[in-house]
Amino acid sequence: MAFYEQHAHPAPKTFLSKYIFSYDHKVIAKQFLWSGIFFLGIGGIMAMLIRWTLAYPGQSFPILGQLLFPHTGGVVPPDTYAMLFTEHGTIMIFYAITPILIGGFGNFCIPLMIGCRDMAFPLLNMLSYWFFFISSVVLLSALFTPLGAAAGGWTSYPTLALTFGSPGIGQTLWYLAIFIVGASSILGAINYITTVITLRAPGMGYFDMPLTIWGIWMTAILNAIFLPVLGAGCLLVIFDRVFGTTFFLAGAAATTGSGDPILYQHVFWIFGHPEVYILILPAWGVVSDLLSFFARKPAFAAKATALSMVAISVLSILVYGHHMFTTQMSPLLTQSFMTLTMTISIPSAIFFGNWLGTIWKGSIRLDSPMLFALGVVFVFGLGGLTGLYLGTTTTDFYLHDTYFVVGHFHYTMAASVLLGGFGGIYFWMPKMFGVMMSEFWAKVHFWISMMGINGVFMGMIFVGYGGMHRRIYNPFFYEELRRLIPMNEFVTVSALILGAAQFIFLINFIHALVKGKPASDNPWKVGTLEWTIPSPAPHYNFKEIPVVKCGPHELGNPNLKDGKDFQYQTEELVKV
Amino acid sequence: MSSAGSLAESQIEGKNFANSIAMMISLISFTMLFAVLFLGYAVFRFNALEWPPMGMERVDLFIPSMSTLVIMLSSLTFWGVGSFISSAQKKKAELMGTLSLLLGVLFVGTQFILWETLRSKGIYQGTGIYASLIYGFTWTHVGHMVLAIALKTWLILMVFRAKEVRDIGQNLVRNVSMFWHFLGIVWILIYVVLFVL
Repeated sequence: MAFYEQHAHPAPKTFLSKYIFSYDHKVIAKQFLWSGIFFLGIGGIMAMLIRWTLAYPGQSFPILGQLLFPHTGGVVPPDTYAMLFTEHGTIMIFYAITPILIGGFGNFCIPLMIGCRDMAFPLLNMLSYWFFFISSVVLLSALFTPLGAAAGGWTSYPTLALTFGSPGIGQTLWYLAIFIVGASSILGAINYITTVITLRAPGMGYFDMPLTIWGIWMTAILNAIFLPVLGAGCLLVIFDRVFGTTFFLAGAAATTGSGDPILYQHVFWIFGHPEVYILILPAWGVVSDLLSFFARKPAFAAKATALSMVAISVLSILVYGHHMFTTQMSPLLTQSFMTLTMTISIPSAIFFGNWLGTIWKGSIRLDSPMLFALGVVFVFGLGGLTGLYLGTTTTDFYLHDTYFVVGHFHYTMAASVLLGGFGGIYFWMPKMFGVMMSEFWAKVHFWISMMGINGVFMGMIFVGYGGMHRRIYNPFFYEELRRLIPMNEFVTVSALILGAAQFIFLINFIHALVKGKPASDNPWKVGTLEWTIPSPAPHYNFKEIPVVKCGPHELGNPNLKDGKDFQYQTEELVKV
Repeated sequence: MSSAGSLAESQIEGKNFANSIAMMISLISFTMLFAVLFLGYAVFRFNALEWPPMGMERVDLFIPSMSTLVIMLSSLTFWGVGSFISSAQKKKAELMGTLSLLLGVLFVGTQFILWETLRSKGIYQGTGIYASLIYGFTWTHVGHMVLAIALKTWLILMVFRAKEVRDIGQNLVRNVSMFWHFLGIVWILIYVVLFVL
């Protein structure tokens, strides 16, 4: 069964039912989007504080420093530094990227792109957002507890994150917040998977779905399977911290029999590696569609791209051990994990090749969504290549826990996902809010961001290769690292440029909402289902449920008439 | 678009299909959560020189065995609820439902007795990894049982309120039953792994 008519909720009339406790997937998408942008700002400010400390240790952070740390004269104190990098990572992954890419685009795009009126379970959808909201309150509340927020890194490994390493309640609240945000994502995943299976418009086979939906769908499947793994890990640490169990307690602290802190690392990375793909697959899906739409030709080997997503999702389960090469793992295991890690390059290369195939000989339109999509192709290429060094045991032993790792995962998880996210916002802004953002400022935003991104993350790769470890308050205490100060200053200046560029986006975004030019129904001239309805998308989306007759990437067909170079998915396919 | 009261049969069928998929995904998620606990158990068990470690005594089997019996009876009676609803025997469905619910509550009660017994013997959650595993597993399982009891109560109340029990969707009964039986199976695994082996 591929489609059934949904029960329709009446259009909400009160402020509360319309904007706060809404069942409408589009409103929930915007709630996630706003929350994500808010947390992107918070996480971004934290990044600036971290970078300032690394470039100018002991110097007061301009303007905000005196306000935040008056007792140290505006200098970030060491314990706060540990909290900052912990919260930065946590916020960016679980509270910025996840809500924007998965909560925002997932909610907005799935019903509109598969041709249904809402998610399969609108109440569950609303609960998913409010679980997220509660979780974010729990996480932020930790900042105001006596010993401050969590400071054990975004991985929060025991024994550092147990009570004798992190005695404050902030660390407990961190685990609780992650547990709740995990529940939120699982509720969302149940909805996404079910909606895609049961509510595709009549005529829409799985391979007729846009690749954006494939990416989000694969992400939802990974979320449903692997977030409970992290949830279980968090639950056990909460038991250790609050009730005194000894699951992860070892060494001198374990006076009554030994637990195993390495077990947590296994549990964390069984979740953690699929999490990389959980974050990146929606962006890959969006980019795969955008490249086709703006190259004005069908996505090259779209089925292979979709199947590569499936292969990557499956393989992501089997490679987690490469995060743990330095935990005295058996050489037999390290070699197995290394080999499996390398095999993930195959579907990734197919993916990458298909992207290049899509734009090859296309009539490329360099509108802002396309610029951001091309940006993802570039940064993901760099992120993927630097990953090979970390998946190989021989090089990983030297690079482990250095800034090389930080640069690599920022290229893949931060740069790719952020650029993909921005591309998506510029692209769906007309359908989401009914207005266009300024193309000029969008392009300015792109180019400055690209300079900033590459300055920051390429710089990190160099300083990491130079031997600089991550998570050290003042690495230049060590004589051999002092030569890296100029490079760190360069990275920090790049970070400030990157941060400043986001104000361009913010002003453009707000200006569009307030005074933006009204968008036409299909400003980008593409044929997926969301562009067959008015902008912004009306309540209950489609007046009549569409019947799908062709794929999502029918562009550039010379036999099309009336000067059109694209087909709607609801139109009979014109033979080439 | 149709109103709630006039959902066509195909719509109900579609909704039921969606609900079943959602329940399957939920069960996969719950399975993964418990799988991590069993993974932890396996790591500790296979790395220990002796089991239970550190010369600890095994937990007496009586209370865990009683818990197992109670949860199995509860599952059996709940299966009966489904049968009576499908054959429109309201009174029997009510009786079986109440009995199943009470057995579920009794199971949670036996867990409290287990914890009290352990404490009376000086076995606290911090008394080594063996005790931690027992408490950790049973706390997590009881947490899920509370959720399942809430769902079951809601379903049984529907049985009491319904004029015709056939009006209660078979699919709903099946989904709640699946969750209940799932927790029963998890308990039996906990019983065998933690208390018997």
